[in-house]
Amino acid sequence: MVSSATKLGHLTAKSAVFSAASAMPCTSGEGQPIRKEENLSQGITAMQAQWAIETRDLTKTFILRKQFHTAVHNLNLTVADGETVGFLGANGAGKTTTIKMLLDFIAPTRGQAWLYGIPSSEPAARRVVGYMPEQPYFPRYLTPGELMYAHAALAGVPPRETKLRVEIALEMARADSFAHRPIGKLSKGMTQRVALAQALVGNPHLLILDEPASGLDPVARVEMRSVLQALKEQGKTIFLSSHHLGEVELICDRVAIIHQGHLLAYGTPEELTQQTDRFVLVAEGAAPQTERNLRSLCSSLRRDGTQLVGVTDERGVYDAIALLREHGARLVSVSQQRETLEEVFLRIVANAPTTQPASKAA
Amino acid sequence: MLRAFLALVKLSFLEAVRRQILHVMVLLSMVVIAIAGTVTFFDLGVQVKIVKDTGMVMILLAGSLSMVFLMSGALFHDIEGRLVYPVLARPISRAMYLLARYAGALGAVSLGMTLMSATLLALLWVHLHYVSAMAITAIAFTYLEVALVGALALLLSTLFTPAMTVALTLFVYLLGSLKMGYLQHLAERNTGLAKWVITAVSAVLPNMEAFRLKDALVHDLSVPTGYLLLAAVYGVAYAGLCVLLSIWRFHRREV
Repeated sequence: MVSSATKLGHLTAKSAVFSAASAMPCTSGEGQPIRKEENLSQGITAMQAQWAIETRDLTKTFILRKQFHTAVHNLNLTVADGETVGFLGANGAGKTTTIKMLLDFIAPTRGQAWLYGIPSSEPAARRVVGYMPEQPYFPRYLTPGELMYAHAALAGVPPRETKLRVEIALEMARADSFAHRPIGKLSKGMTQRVALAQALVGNPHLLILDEPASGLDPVARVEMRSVLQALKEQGKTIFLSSHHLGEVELICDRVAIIHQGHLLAYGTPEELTQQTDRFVLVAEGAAPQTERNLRSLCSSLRRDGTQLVGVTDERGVYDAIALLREHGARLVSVSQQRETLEEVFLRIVANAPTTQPASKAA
Repeated sequence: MLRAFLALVKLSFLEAVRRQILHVMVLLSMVVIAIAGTVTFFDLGVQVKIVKDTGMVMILLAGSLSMVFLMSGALFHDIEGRLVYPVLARPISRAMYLLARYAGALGAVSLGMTLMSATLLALLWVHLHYVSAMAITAIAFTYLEVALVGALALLLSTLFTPAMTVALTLFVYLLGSLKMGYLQHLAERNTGLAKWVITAVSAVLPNMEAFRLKDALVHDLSVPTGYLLLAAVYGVAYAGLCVLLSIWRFHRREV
């Protein structure tokens, strides 16, 4: 097996081609490059196209067991070109329903969505899109390589570029080592990589990824994150629905939190996270006795090499500093802790008003 | 656009051509045709009639049943199995997707029918040392009939579950086959509303008899070119209408 480092090195050269190709956001079915401005040739103004994704009062109501159930309520969301946005929500929050409306799998009950200024109901809107579904399924008898060629044709990749695009997509998704094995014989993680490769094969400008790390083991998840990071650095717009809040926090420029179909918060992680009343204290040269005394003042204390890292509240921090001084230990730093995205998510969801019960359908 | 369509047709064809139902149907039919052509029970004239009769029936039966089974579950399995999502996320219309699904399945069944037809024509060549134009024409019309049955199954599959689609398609197919003889006779025997309903049903149902040139082939009869043209136009128009209605039905379907 080729080592990750070798692969990454190899990939860098090809990624340069991929990035260069990204300068042409997409190609038409005839293989003509289309710039974003040209993309909007169908009577759509440049003003409308300032967003990669825009939804206006997007609403979806289903009828379940003779009752109206609104999965998405008046969703107003904008994603700028080149931005990475995390779309967070619990199961049933409306994430997949929103993505389905963006891709015209289902029609909104009310409101509208645009992809680069083109109404999402038009196939042309999907020219610049690469989509990775949650729990992807592909024909079992095809190999990833065959699937990539089919999707390259569907995405409008010109024949002369197809081979290169397929190779790049398979390598970027780390799916090249099993490109000739039938998909039916691949593991879930491998299938997930194939799904990412098919999303990338058209060299899309906008990637819509529905739970891309779902079902992946920790190693594969880290690999997936590095691929997303590389795509982000290439300037791709990424709309990422995920349960893995830590990963979203690491990758995303902005985060949207949806709960019971309502958009509760939307902003950068810094905007959403608040200062907590917890302080992180780092000290060096503390004797065992000092460590024992410090433990009684901190809610958590761990040793990190030669340093002690403790977390304490506002009152405890002064006592801890005094204790360290008294015992001759060196205080390295004291910082006020910010909320994690997980804490933000739980806080916002806990404070959300409960929605009205489903109303009866006529 | 054409490349995308052909890629979809290829995917649909590859899926259909792997289905066991098609393999079994084609193999069984070829065996039956071969037996009818090689086991000698009668004198040559009767033997040839039996080969023609059996051959045409087997091609039609195997082609129609394969097409019904392939088309009735195609959409359902694509949607339920979530295979449809990566494809519909591409810049293609649903009409293209549906047309390609139909064309791919029809291509796979046509391949099977070509193998059966080749067996039949080879046996006729062995017995008669020539293949009549009528044999080719009769086989071509069988293809048309199978295409129509497939279009009907496609339309019904946008409305019903696979099992229901199979049942309804076979029911309509059976009624369409009876139509000429039975429904018109029934309409003549009734009056008023009943007559009107039977006439309307008779007009809406596909007239499968129009494509069956088996008897003309078996009895070495000629069929007027005008009739053949009219039947071909009727078949293409009926199948086209079914596909159009399927597209209309599938266009706003939530997947």
